Amino acid sequence: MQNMGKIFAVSLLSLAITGCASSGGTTDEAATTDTSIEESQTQAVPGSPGLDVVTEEQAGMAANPLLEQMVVYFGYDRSEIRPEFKDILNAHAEYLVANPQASVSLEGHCDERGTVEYNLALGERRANTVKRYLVVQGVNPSQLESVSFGEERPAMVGSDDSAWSKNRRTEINYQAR
Amino acid sequence: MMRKSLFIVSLLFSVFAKAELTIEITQGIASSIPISVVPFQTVSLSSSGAVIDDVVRNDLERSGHFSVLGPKDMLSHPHTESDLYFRDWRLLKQEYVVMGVITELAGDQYQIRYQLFDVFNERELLTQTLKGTEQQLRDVAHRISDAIYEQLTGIRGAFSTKIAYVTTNPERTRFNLSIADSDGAREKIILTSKYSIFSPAWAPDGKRIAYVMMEDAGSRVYVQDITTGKKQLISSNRGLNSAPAFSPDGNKLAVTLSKDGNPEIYVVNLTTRKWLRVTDHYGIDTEPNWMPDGKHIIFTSGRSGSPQIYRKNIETGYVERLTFEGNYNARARLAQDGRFLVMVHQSQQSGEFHIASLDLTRGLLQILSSDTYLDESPSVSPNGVMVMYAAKHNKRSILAAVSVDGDVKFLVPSKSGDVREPAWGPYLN
Amino acid sequence: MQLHFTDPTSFKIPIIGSGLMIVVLLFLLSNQWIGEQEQVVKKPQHIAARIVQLNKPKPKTASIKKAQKKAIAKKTKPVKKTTPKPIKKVVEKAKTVVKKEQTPPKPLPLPGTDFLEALEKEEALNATAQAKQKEEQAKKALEDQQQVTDYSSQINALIQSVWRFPPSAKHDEEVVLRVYLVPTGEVTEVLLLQSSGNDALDRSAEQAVWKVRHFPVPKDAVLFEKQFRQIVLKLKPENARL
Repeated sequence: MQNMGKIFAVSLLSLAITGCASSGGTTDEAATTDTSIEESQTQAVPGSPGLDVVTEEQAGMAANPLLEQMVVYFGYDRSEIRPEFKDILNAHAEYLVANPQASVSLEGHCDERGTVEYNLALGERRANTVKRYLVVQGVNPSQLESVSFGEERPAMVGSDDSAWSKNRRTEINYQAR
Repeated sequence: MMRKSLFIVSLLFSVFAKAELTIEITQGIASSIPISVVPFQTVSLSSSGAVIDDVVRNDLERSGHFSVLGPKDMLSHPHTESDLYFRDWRLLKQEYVVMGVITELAGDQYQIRYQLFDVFNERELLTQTLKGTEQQLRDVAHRISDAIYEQLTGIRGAFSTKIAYVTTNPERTRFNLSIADSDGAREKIILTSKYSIFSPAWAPDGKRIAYVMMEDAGSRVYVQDITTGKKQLISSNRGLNSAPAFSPDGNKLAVTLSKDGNPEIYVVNLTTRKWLRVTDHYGIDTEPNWMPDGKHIIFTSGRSGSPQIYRKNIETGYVERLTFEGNYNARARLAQDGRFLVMVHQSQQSGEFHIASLDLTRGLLQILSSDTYLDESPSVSPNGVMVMYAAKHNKRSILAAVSVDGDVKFLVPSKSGDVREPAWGPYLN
Repeated sequence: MQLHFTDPTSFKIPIIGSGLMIVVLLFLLSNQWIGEQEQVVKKPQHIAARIVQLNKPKPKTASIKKAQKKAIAKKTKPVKKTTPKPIKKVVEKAKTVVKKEQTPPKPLPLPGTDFLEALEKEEALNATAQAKQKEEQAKKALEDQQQVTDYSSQINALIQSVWRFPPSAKHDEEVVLRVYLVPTGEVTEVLLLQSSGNDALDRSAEQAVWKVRHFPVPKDAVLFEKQFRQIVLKLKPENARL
C-alpha cells in the first residue's frame, strides 16, 4: 500500500528541501518538478508553476515526519478519507494553520478503470474531500486549491491492483507564493 | 464474424376451411449476408485504382452484416451481365454479386460503373456510375459500400464517415488528435500537444470538433475548426471544464463544470455565449449527451451512490433514471434511433469493464464486448449500428468495434503507441 | 345394384336386397378378418340411402368424437395406405356377388313374421353404417388436415432455415407472399401480397422462397389442388432484435 509512491514522494521532498538549502530559495530545476510526476511521468512541464519554492518557514515542517507524506489514497470508486490518512492530514492542517502564507494544491487522481470523464469528476471529489477535511481542521480555504487530473497522470503505470491502488490518490503539493 | 442465430422453432400456422392455406413463419436467421464483390475490371488503369473493390469488400466485411467471398474462391470473375451465371453463384451459396468496371478518362478522371445482383431472385438491384480523381477513389469505394449496404440491409451506410481519436506515445509525453476514414485509412493529425487530450466530440456538421485538454491548471474545453485548424477556448472556469457534446443543431455545447463546487452539466450557446445550468445535485453529474430532439440530455450521475445513467428534459426539468443493473453504468450514447443505450458497464460477476447495450423499450442489458479488457469511450456510428470503443490489449490501448447487437467484433488496426477516445463522426452529405 | 331400384314397386326387391345384404355381410364377415370390418360396412351405403332419412341424427357428435379420438390415437401412419384400396375391393366383390345371385332368381326363404325383425335389423345395421360412414368422412378430413399440418410444418421449417432477414428488420414487421406451386412442389411464381414497408425485408422473404425452390407437397392430387396449388406465407421476423 504505502510503498513505492510514498517513498518516492518522500525522497522527492527531501530532494526539494536540500535543493532549496543549497540554492537559497531560487527556483531550481530539480526542485520545481511536480510531485505528481513520478516514475513513468518523465516530462517536465515547462512554464508551469511547479511545486516548491521552499521558504524558511516551510523548512520547519520536516519537524513532523508525517508532513513528509504528501499523498493520501482512496478505495475504488470512493472519495472519502480513510482513517489511516487522518493523522497525515491533521499534520498538514496544523502546519497550514501555523503558516497561513503557505498554500497547497490538492490534486485528485484516479485509476484507469471506468470512464475518463467520470474519473475526472471523481478525481475532483478526492481533491475536494481532502480540502474540506483540511478546512474543518481550521485551514483557511484560500490556502487550498483543488484540481483533478482524472486518470490522465497515473503515479504508476500498469493494469493491476497494485498500480490502481497507487493511482487512486490526492497529492498535497505545496505551492510557491 | 459469424453470427449465431437463435433458433426457437415455433410453428404457428392456420388452416382455414375456405381461405387459402396460410403458413406463418416467425423465425429467421439473423446472420451475415453472403456477398461476392468480383474484382472490378480495370480499363487502361495505371495502378492505384485497383483498390476500389478491395475497399468495398473490406467495408462490407467489417460491417459484420456481410460475409464476403474472397476473389480466389469465386468460380469466375464476370464483368458484364452476359458472363454472369446465377447458378454458379448459387452453388457458392452467394446471395448477392457485385461487379464493376473502372475506366480511365482524360484529365486524371476515372469512371466507375458497378452493378449489384440478387442471385436467388435473379435480378439486378442497383447500377451506378461514379466519377472521381485518383485521390477520390477511396471515397468512391466507400460510396459504393454505402449504397450496397443500404440496399441490402435497409440501413443507411456509414462507410463514408470519419472517425477522430487520440494517439499517445508510450511515455505519454505527446498527444495527437487525429481524424481518419471510418476504416482507419488516410489519417490526419489535427492537433499535437504535450497535454493529454480527451473527449473529442464532433459537431453535427462534421466541420468542428470539441475536446478537452488537460492542462497544468486543470481541464479546458476547446472547439477546433477542422479545415482551418483554429481552436477556440470555450471554457476555463475554476474546477472541471469537461465532457463537451454538441446539440443536434450544432449551436450549443453541453459541458461539465464544477465552478460552483460540484460537477454539474451546463449548456452554452456558442454564438451568444450564454450559459444555462442543467443539473443541480451534490452527486457527480457529467458525460452529457443530447437526445436527437434537442430537449433531453442523458448523463452520468453518481447521485444514487454509484454512476448510473439519467435523462433530463432541459425544458421541464424532469429527471429519470435509465439504468438499474450493475453498480457502474457510465458514458452513455444512443444507438438504433434512440432505442438502445450503449455505455460502459462494470460486470457484477467479474468486475470487468465492458461496453453494454440497454434496450430502452424492453429493458434488456447485453454486454457487447466481452473479449476485450478495460473497455471505455463507446462511440456510435451515425447509422446507429456499430460502436467503436477503446480497450486494453497486450498492455496497449487500442480501438475495437462491436455491433449494437453484439454479434460483430473487430479490432481497429493502429500503427504504434496507444489509441484512445474514439469519436465517430456524422454523415458528411 | 341399381337394378334393385329400377323396379321399386316390387315388394320383393327390398327384402331380397336386404336378405342378400345380410347374406353377403355374413359371408364377408365370416371370411374377412375383423380388422377390415370397417371397410366392409362401407359398401351398403347406396342401399341404405332411403332408410337413412328415417333415422335420428343423434349419433353424429358422438361418433365423430370417437373417430377423432381414434384418428388421434392412430396418428398418421396406418390410415393413409389402408383406407382407399380395400374399399374398392370389397365393393367389387359385392357387385359380382349381387349379379350372380340375380340371374338365378331362386326362392329365398321369406317368412312373413321375420319381416319386421329383418327390417329392424337392417335399420340398425344401416344406422351403424351411417355412423361409421360419418366417422370415415371425419377421419378422412382429419387425415387430410394431418397431411396439411405435416406439409405446412415442413415448409415452415424449410423457409425458416434459409430466411435471412436483414438487420433492419423489426420483430413486429410482416411480409405476406403468395407462392404458386406445381404438383411436383416446384415454385413457379412468388407474389408480394403485403409489403412490410421495408424493401430489404420484403426481398429477403421472396429470396427465402426461391432458395427453397422445391416445396414438399402431398402426393394426393385432390389435396394438392385444394390446399397447395397456391399458398400464402406470412413471414414475421419475431426473433429480430429491433
